[in-house]
Amino acid sequence: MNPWQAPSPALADLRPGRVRRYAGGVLEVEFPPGLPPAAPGQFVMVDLGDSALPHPFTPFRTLAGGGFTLLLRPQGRPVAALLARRRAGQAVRLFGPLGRPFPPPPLGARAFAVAESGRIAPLHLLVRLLGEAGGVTLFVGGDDDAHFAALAAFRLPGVRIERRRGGGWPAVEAALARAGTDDVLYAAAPEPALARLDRALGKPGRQGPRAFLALEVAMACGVGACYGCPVPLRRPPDPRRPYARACADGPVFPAGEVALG
Amino acid sequence: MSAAAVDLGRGLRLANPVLLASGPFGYGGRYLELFDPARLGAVVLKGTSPVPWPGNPPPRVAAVDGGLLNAVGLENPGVEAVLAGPARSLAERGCTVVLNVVGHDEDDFVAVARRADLSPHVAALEVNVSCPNVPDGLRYGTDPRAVAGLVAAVRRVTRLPLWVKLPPAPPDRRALARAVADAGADALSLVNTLPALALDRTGRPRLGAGAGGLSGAALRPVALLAVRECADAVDLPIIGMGGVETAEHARAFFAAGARAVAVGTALFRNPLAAVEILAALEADPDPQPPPRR
Repeated sequence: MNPWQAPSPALADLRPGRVRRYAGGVLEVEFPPGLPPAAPGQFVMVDLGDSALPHPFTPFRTLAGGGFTLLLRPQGRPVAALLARRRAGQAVRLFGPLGRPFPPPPLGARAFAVAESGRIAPLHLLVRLLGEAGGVTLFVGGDDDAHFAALAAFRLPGVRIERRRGGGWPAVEAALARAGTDDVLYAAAPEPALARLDRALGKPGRQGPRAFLALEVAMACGVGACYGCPVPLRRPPDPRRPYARACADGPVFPAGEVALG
Repeated sequence: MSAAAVDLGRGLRLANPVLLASGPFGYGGRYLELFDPARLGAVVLKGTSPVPWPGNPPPRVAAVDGGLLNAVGLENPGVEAVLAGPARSLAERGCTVVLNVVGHDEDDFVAVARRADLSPHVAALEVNVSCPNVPDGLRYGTDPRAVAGLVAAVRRVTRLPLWVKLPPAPPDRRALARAVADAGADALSLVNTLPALALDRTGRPRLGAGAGGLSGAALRPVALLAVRECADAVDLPIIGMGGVETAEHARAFFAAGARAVAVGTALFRNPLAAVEILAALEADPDPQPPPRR
């Protein structure tokens, strides 16, 4: 099976298993097999019973035997709800994988990946595949220990990790300085950081690199049905349809396709 | 028997009384890969206007205690695209397709109804006079005379069964229901979302449109009252909706006077909610007293 290709989604009730704890309170929670393997950048919807809406999470690591993990940032009700379910031995309902994944790089292009502020989960499978295919440089930026948590999981063949600690969007700036016209750049970051990247790449006269941006947007259905997660298109083909759906047309968008910031 | 076929008027007989409500299911999306909507009594498509509507700016959804606020604003690709695309493909999958009709004015409603009447893929129309998320959404849904005029105008251009979706708390619900019945409606859909507001910590609205419509568990008691009062007021079949998440909830709506139920917001947490409710009703058909009508 082509690991870059999005599979059909499925639905499963799975019990959260082992938990690893990282710096800054970041948690990695294991789940047993039950869902098709996600393509890089895809997400799964997780119903934790704490809200009328499920939560979109990008699977982090793929485990031997078909299980997977979720990487959870410390703050927020979803984490508490998931841990409470785990303590009670209760399953949670998940469905996915969903959404448009990162595409493979063009032949011969150098690959760069960028994570800011701890948004590294969407990049794990991506950099693993890029590392196996010929190599990738992963820039990780942030100003907090939690932003650099779980980086040990990225010590993979062909993956070079470069940390950039500081304010602003230091990993974005480093990648912009390094990537050339024919290269490809993949980014997962808060929207202001993606907007910075998008603006820089869209400057008149700038040629490349090609870039793909993984957005983090509140969603309802996750399956492209409800129109609850609109993202403004930069150049809508029909002015009466000015939005893309983050869940079905994204969450990965080519740079320049949607209006950010 | 609560899972048996139901008659919703004007010759429309559904195989079972569990429907998908207009909105959360949209036009299907990838829900179609997770369950087969043809197992359900009917699928009510997302609100459809004569031409494409852009919908409201983001954010459009916000979870709140006891439910969900949405202000999607009826984004849709217009009636021609809906009839040629999802209405046709869902009907060809074996679904009974109901088109939810929206408009800014009577001409809009009539235009959609007239066009849908020509389609072999639409089994009924649900005239939506109660969306709180567009400027004219409640123009008709609170005034018995205005809604009667609208329903009569739509009635004149279609032979399809005509359902009218009413708001959860109009000033005089019984008068509204009677006006709709007298104007030629075949069934009532009760209820649409309840106008509501969610603010963030800084006091700003959490939705891009400002206010939105409340759905989910918090709406259920409001909807039950609406169903009970309208069932007492008019002799029309009622499709009950608002926080239907389990078979027990469906039975409560039947007990209040609904002939069918529609599942909406519950799909978000559990895409199988509607088919699981149907399966539970089939497995344990009638633990409650039968419906009153």
